[in-house]
Amino acid sequence: MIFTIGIIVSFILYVLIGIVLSKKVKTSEEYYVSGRQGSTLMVTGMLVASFLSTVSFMGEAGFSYEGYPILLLILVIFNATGYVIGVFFFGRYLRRSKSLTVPEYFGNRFQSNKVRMAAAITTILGITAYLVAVTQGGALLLSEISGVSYTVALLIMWLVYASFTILSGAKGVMVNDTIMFFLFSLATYISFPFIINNAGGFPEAIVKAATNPERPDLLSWHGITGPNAYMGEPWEALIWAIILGLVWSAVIAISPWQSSRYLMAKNEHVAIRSGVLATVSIIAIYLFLHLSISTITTVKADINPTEKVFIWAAMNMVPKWLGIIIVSGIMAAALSSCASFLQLIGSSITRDIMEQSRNKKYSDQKLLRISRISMIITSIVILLIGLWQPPSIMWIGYFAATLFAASWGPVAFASVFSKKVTKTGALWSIIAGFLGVVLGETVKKFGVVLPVYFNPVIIGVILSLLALYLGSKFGDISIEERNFQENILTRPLEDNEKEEMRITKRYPSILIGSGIAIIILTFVFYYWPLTLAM
Amino acid sequence: MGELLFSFGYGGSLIVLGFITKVFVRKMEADIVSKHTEIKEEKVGM
Repeated sequence: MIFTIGIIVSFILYVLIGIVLSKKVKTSEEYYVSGRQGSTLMVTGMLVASFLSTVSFMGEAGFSYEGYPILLLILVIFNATGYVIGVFFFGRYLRRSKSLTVPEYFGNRFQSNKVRMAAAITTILGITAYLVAVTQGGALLLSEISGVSYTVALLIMWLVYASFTILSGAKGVMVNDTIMFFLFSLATYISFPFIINNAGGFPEAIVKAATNPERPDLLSWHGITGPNAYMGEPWEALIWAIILGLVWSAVIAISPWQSSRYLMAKNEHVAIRSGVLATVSIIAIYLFLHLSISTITTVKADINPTEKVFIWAAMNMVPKWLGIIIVSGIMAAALSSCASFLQLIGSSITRDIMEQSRNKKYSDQKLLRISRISMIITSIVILLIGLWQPPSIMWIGYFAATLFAASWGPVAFASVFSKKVTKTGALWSIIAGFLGVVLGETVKKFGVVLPVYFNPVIIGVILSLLALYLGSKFGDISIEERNFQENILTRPLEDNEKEEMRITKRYPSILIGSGIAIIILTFVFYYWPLTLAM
Repeated sequence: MGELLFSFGYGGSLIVLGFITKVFVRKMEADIVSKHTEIKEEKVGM
């Protein structure tokens, strides 16, 4: 009961913030990109909050609990690079375009409504699938904790995130995401000493996890491997972690729910600083979360389904007040992703499809009104799919996220740096990447086992690159396209450029200093206890 | 051995990214200098 009250209090807070901020939304730019006034803290909060969801705190936590915490952290090494690569090679150029949506950027860059439409359709299909999966994960958690039925839990979840997103748009998403970011970060960091203490204290808890007969090899770099383990041999597990890590790095760098956050940054310096802080946050959150999860195996080794491992710890291994923070934090991770996804789908439907395909030019107030109406309709469709589809479809979330690495990856980087890519190449590339991933996943659904290096995303990326190259043999590049590219390659200088530069110059040192601190923490909390167990 | 490599590599990735960021930030600084030079030259030209 106390957990339910904690969650409801946080829900009421998010909705109230949405209501208050809705009164401040006067223009479409405020509704779509929060007036481009995002501070470093807020853009960092949005980047991390829209990345972490039930996939992280439930799906990946379960994977870690089953025997692969270090393998998952190896994946994160590659995954987290996406923020720095993303902001320097795509995000800051996207921001310079002053677009309101990412498909709009592609449309303007290639002076093509077809390219914009293809990007908008992939955005809507991919993110809708991801949104349904995350909503269902959150609803399962809510029904588990509160005792209400899954249907009622889904309705409550939907009502909360849809209300503040529809009312206040990007403005509400930005403030709520930042609050949610603090909530789940706090839950992860504070729970670590409590869970370790409950599992036998330090360093005994880690030593016990490393020598647990129920999970031999749990804390080895490859986790539980061998003929009977589903990750196969150690080398297969490593290749899997590196490939998926690189794919997720591309997802972080160019996917609409990550790259569009830079559109809200106050200036380019804020975008770069946010990318740096998001990298440090992800690395730190994952380290403490998965070391905590590994020690839970020594207290209870048969949690089923394994996705509930962190929730079980919140209810059984830590004080009540901390348990409330953890379950509210996991709900916050789910809600923040849902809000960002809904906002992106609504924006794309209104601006990239309704306005563009009908060759209409809405007045600002009309655009604002139609955006809200289309978001209401979108959210109702999402709710109906969520009720109709069987829950716990984690693979859909994974498929939808990685889809963008293939469909958008090659064309996103080429749009900035290539002078040879034509609109035909861009269009073919987006479509071929999308179809490649769908084809690979369909083949898998029919029981065909693909080797690890032929992950559906890899098929999609290869097809997308081929289509980009072959398609660019056709068509000419217009003066407008050249001018647009020239403009985004020119860095705008701020009025207080020297002051901004002085602050940004500290950020490489923040990364290096954090790296040294993380190495020390990894040695203290992982490697040293491991040597005691050997 | 793999565990030791991981212990260095996990935080080490941030150090590598720090040096990559340093290169980009230096390039941004150079942009400012060349921009200011350009503006000065334009003024002289006037």
